[in-house]
Amino acid sequence: MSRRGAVGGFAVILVASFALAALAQEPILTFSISPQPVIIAVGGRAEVRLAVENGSVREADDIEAAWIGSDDLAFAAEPEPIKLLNPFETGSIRMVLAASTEAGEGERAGRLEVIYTYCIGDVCYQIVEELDVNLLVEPADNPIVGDDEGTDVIVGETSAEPRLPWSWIGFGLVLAFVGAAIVFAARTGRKAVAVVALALLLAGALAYGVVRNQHEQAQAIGAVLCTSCVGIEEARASDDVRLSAEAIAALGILAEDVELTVFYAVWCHSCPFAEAMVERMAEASDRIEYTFVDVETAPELAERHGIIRSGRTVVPAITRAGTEEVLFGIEDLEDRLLRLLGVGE
Amino acid sequence: MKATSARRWTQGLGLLFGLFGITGIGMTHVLFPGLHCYACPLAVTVCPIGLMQNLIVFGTPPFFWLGAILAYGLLAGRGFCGWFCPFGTLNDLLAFRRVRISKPFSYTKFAVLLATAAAAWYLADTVFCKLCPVASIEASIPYLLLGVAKVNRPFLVHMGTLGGTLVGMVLISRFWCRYLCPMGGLLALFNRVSLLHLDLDAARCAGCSACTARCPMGLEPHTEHDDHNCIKCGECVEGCHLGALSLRYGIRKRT
Repeated sequence: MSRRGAVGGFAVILVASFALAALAQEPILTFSISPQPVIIAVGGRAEVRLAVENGSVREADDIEAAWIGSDDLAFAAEPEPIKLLNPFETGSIRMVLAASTEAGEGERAGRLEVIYTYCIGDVCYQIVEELDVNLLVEPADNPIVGDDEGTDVIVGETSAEPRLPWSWIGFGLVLAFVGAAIVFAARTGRKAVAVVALALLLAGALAYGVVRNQHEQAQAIGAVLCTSCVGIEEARASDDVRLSAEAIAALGILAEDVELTVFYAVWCHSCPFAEAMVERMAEASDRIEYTFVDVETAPELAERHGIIRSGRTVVPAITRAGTEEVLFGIEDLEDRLLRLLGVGE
Repeated sequence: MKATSARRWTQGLGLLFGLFGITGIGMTHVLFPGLHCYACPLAVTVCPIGLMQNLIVFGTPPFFWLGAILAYGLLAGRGFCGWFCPFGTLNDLLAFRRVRISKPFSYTKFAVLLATAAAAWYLADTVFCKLCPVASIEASIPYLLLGVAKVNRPFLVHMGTLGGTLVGMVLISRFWCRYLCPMGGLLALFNRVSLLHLDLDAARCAGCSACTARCPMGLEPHTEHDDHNCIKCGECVEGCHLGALSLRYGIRKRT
């Protein structure tokens, strides 16, 4: 093969790989069913456990299981979905399978359909997977296995080893290619080949990143100033919040109803402290009502209060209804909040 | 136009680009090709090192980030340090002592880069940002003036790192760029393959070291024109009266 052909072939493979990887709705969960086989008596019930492992860095939502096997077997009750499975978390759905009195005996094959969703940025994927269930249907005199409660859900029950997500493996491969191209250029002096390879890698990485909405993520990270993230102040844990005796006394004389709003971002390290401080104050005074607002879900509201200005957000920020004042950050927050409430010095 | 004059214009452009938020356009999707804090009230671009840390904390395989770094690396490599980065410009303004570079110590910037990534991974926090002297100038001080920041421990830490870096810059030209800048470390990886490069015509070189005296990075350009520390500023090109050195753009000839 000529050199030009080799480079062209390499380019096509690389671009195709990126395109396929970008377009694929990659499953992020792994499942295992126990016991295998499921032993069930004719007319009886058997407990089946579906273990779910999230080996990715994404949250998986609404994990539902449905029986799609033969009609003579069915769930005793609809299994409850797992509402949320965090990255690297494991969970399980316990199901009770019931066999009709006319169920055929012997070794059987059943199927379970599992549906879940996950999102990358604003793009959400629904994944449908079918799982094989090995069944052994025995004569009716076998004892009933399982309980009568139907189903329940146990999340985070075990701590299975997390799996390295495919996306990270892919990223590692791209990095290896980049390193190889640079070393190749340094060792052989054939820089044109390295430049072409790097140009292809950069085009693929950028395209894949854009498809994965990483450019939006980059903008969002750049646009939100978490006061502790760049060292404007120190992040403090929400457990650290203790109202001083003076603050409790001052809150006791609060003479009017007050509504506070805490604007936060999910990755803001200081925000939980600000939220906890407002919660403690509301516990100390019946006159304080409060709301927590995610700036990403309510940008217009945040903009009206000056928390987002020229596309830049500063969090945590606390506002009091009816006033223009905004408290940013958590430095001396107790004193500043008391002043905002009109009971501080 | 001479490289020095042209560079003043592009460095001014870098500063303008860094402060483009004054127009009110807000944050864009673009990564800045240098070290420039996205927390700056006027920033419209994302700091690559800050983003890298955040993506590590979030566990996102940073394809978009890598694509941008590859693009900048290929386009100019460390040329961005010499021609565009505002903090590099500040280094230039304080470049009074052009002493020779310590080669072993110049690898520290790669250690800073790795430590930045490792700290983000293990501590799940943007630790480098809390020490970054660029953030000191572009975020801590402006936010103090805007009333968001207070003179507290993090602020004093920022002032400490900024003070130390400024002293280093006065004592050693381009001190930050030579030894500590993680962005410089990233771009340095591509210096040998970047399209902007310094060429040496060995037949014309008399070995007089006139270029060495001009190099803000403390290199000997006539022997180290391919070095990962070269910021391709072109000072040496002007310093060479024999025309042995030249800045070129394109795929470098096989060496």
